[in-house]
Amino acid sequence: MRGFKAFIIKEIKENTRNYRFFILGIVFAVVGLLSPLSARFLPELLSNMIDENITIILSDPTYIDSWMQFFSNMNQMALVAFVLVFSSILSKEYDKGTLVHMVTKGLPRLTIYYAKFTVMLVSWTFFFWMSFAITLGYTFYYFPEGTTDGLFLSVGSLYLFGILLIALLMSSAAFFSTVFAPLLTVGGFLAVLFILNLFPFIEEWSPLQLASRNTELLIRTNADTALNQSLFVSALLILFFLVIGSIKFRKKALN
Amino acid sequence: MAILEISNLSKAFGNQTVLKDVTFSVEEGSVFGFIGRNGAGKTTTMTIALGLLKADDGSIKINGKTVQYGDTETNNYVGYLPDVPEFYPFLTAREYMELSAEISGIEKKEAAEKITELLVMVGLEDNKKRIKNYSRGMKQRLGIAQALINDPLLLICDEPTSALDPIGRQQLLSILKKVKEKTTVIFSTHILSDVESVCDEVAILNDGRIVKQGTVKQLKAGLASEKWMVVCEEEEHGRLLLEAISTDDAFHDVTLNGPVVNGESTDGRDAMGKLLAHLNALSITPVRIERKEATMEEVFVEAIK
Repeated sequence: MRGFKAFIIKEIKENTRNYRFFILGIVFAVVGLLSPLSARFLPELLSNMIDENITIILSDPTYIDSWMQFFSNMNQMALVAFVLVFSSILSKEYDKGTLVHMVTKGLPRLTIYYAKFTVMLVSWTFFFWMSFAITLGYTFYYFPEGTTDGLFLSVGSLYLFGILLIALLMSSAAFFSTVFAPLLTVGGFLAVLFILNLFPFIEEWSPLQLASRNTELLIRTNADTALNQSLFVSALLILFFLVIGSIKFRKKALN
Repeated sequence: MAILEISNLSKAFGNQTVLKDVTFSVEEGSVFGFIGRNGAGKTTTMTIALGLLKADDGSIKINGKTVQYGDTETNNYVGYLPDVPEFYPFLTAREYMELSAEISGIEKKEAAEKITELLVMVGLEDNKKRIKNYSRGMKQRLGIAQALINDPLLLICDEPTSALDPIGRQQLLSILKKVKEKTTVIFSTHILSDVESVCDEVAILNDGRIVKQGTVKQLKAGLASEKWMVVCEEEEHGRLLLEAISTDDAFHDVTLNGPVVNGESTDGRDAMGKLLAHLNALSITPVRIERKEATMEEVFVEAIK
């Protein structure tokens, strides 16, 4: 695709010079560091803070606690920060009219759409696995007895869930022209997933499993039917979001 | 050969009709002025020609190929300069030109030479500042440089001078004059002196329709009336002339302002002969007698009446 590489380089310069990559680097590094540290030292901190007359029994932390913190921080901090940082991926271009010059130079609209998605995907991949590597290193340091069995499945599920949200963000950015609409779409999608989880039949197929069963998967090591169904639905949804977004973007009025 | 052919173009936004059956063509090698009031539909026409907006009806061909909404193939022949060009503020002018060259499919070596040549032409060759620090005039000059990077067959300029100060306007017009040696230019504006300065042919758009089209000379010649002026030595002479011609059907809208008599006639040449005959009959020797050349402003006002 002509101009794909040039547009990707432009996106990288933009995200670097506007400090987006810097912010994400900090957030993901903090998540990577904080997860094993908080698992290791939180019990000690708690026991120091509580009155001497109160006795609480805390079991010794393990590598599982470290990964539990990682999944929780990744869901509540890193993924939220990522979606926030990239929520204006197209709206700013619509607002300023900067895409007009690109399109009137003959750059295919689909090239723009997929170049932007590629940059988000590569950024997510880089920052996610960087954060994972930091947590992995410190987890081994603090909890040498820990194993990596089941780690790929449980962390990989969360990684895929992130891609699903990125695909939805990209698609909604093609449909709506404001910064907030893609954010609301992603938020609304999560809310719907939580509501649908109330129905056991739907829960078995819900992509939400990829972000909620990570600790359990760490111990299981093998995917069950429900998880396979969830993976299948998530992959389909990623494709669906990308395709409808690209169809919409191809016909979107730009001026 | 026509480089741009617009046929029966119509467009409405909700209940508001912006373009009604607009038809015109632009011949290769000309500077075509597209004039009209604010909101007349000039930008809408150009945006449809660029494939950025969907027409309700009609078709546009650029270099013989039909413009398809959402497709960018015909844009390979086009350079576009909007009224307020917006660029990526985090890039420098050279970086932006490199991006433009690469997406236009120009080889790197050729692009480097071309970029330098164009930046020299618009006076931005030594500028290392990021675009976010540029003035409006600098952005407009960069706009024309990026529009020419792919050696377009057709340069579409949408009110390129409307936001500029007089010096910026002069600079841009002189660049457009240079450009017209190689590229066909379509130039929308409501600044009529700019049209007279650079355009070979003009179309006037009013209420979504083309109401007049032709060369500047043809449009001026086609005016319904021509103005004239007689400067007498004394006010009394002016008054006598006014009385004498007031019953003559060849003259209308005649006014007296001191010793100066102004008026209009449907046929300027005939009016001059009759005026001289009246002056001769009254034994008045004028200080000056003049047939005034029509301005584009008069052409425009008459066209949109």
